Amino acid sequence: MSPARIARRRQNRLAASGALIEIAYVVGLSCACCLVCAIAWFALG
Amino acid sequence: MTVKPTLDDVKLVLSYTGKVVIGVAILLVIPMLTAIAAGEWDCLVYFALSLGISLSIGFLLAALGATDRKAGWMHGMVTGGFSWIVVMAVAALPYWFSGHYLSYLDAMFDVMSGFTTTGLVLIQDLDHVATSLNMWRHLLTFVGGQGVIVLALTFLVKDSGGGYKLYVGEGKDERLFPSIFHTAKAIWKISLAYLAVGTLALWAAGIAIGLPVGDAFLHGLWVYMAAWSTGGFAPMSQNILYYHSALYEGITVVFFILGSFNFALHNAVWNGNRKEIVKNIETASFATTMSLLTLVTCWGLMKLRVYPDLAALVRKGFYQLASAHTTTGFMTIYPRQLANEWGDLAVLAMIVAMLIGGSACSTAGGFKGLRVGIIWKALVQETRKLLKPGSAVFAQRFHYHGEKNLSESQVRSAALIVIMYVAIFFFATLAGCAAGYPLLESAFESASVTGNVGFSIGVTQAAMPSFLKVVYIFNMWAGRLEFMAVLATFAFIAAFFRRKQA
Repeated sequence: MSPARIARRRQNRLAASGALIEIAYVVGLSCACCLVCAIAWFALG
Repeated sequence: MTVKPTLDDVKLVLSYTGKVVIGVAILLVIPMLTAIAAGEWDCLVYFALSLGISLSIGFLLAALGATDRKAGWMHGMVTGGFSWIVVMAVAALPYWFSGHYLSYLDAMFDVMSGFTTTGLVLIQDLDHVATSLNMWRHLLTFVGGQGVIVLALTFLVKDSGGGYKLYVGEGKDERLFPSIFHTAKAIWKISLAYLAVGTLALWAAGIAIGLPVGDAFLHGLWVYMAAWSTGGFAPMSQNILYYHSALYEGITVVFFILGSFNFALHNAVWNGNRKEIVKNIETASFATTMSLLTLVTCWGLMKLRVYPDLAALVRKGFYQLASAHTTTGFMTIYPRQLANEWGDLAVLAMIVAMLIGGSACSTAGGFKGLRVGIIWKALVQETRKLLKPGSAVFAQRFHYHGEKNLSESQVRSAALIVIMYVAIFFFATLAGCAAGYPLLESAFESASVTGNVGFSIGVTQAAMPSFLKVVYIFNMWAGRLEFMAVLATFAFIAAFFRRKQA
């Protein structure tokens, strides 16, 4: 395998893990907001 | 006073505008292929006719503007503003030919709504629109999210210096790479990679909820395009409510929030700078305002007991709020429910969320989390100054792709943009009231068009007055381009005609 191809693969792996981190962050943020809803529900309801 | 433009300046603007029109015209090939695949021969004729007219206009403008001059900031800004208007008129041709619009103004309204990723529609009988026309609608919003000029930069404009000025003229100012050509390519790479993942996820979800495989794919592709672009278009008139699926809603939330993030942030995280997503002032600002506004929305809904249980409150309240804050405009309720059931508090929280919007240099609208963060930091700095001795010097810092000192010019620029947004928000609210709509409904719809959101409380429909449609088109355009290109375009035209009269 050529060095350029190895570098490209490494870059793609890095990008894929970056995308997963972004998705995890968004899911985490959404869960936090849902938790805020739940707290409001129990505190005020 | 504005420098009087010469004929060469006008030619340069026309030349770049011609290239942008050609870029958009070439896109018509995609719905044409869709029309062939779906056997929609009438639509094929409409698209072929539109392609012919658009290419003729594009080449004519490019030929009229043939000049050796290099683009300056003025040309970039004016092209940014002017080309969006020309492209709106050209891209409306297939809409108009399709017979789904009551007037050409309505067709142009929908194009501007698509390109600015707003998502409000005046189309008639949306549920029975041809597949190829739906492809065109969603393609417009997908391309609009990345930027019409980014598209032209990627394929047609190779002049790097002039290209950067065009790029800034379109309301984007992050240079992901030193070369503007590579920046445009990186934006497309990120968008297309997520396109593959998002479409697959929504395709699978569509099959799981019982859509036929082919329909599930098309719906998945179109809904993804609208989610990533924070556009809000959907193939059915009930929008996302049509699917009645928590899974579908969950997937769209992930992709529209991702779409509202800065392309520079995506680029940084994808290149190994993972901490940026947590430390960045924009994501911090977004997370804070979204949590607070979710709380206010839920409180408003709970006070009126709109939803009977926590699950329904979270599903409806959080979804609409997140959709508003990211300026997407996907809805899982009917527009009139906002006016008749949600109450003032929840609707006000939605208005604030729509005005704040997503991140700078993203597909989202609004005055952006970055500016909220900067103004907040400036407030903190001023408060600290008040509480300390007069001789004390403060350096307020914030994290935005590295630690940065808060400068006076950053605060001024952020404040000016926010003031301009608020000014046109009031302007459209006033226009809504003048047209006879109640204040809260006018303000809601105004925030929706100004922030390029696409939520409707029921004001936007084909029967509304034409002047209100024009005001909304102006707000969508000015909001998307963040004013500078729009102001430059007006100043350029005024200065040009002043010269003629002299």
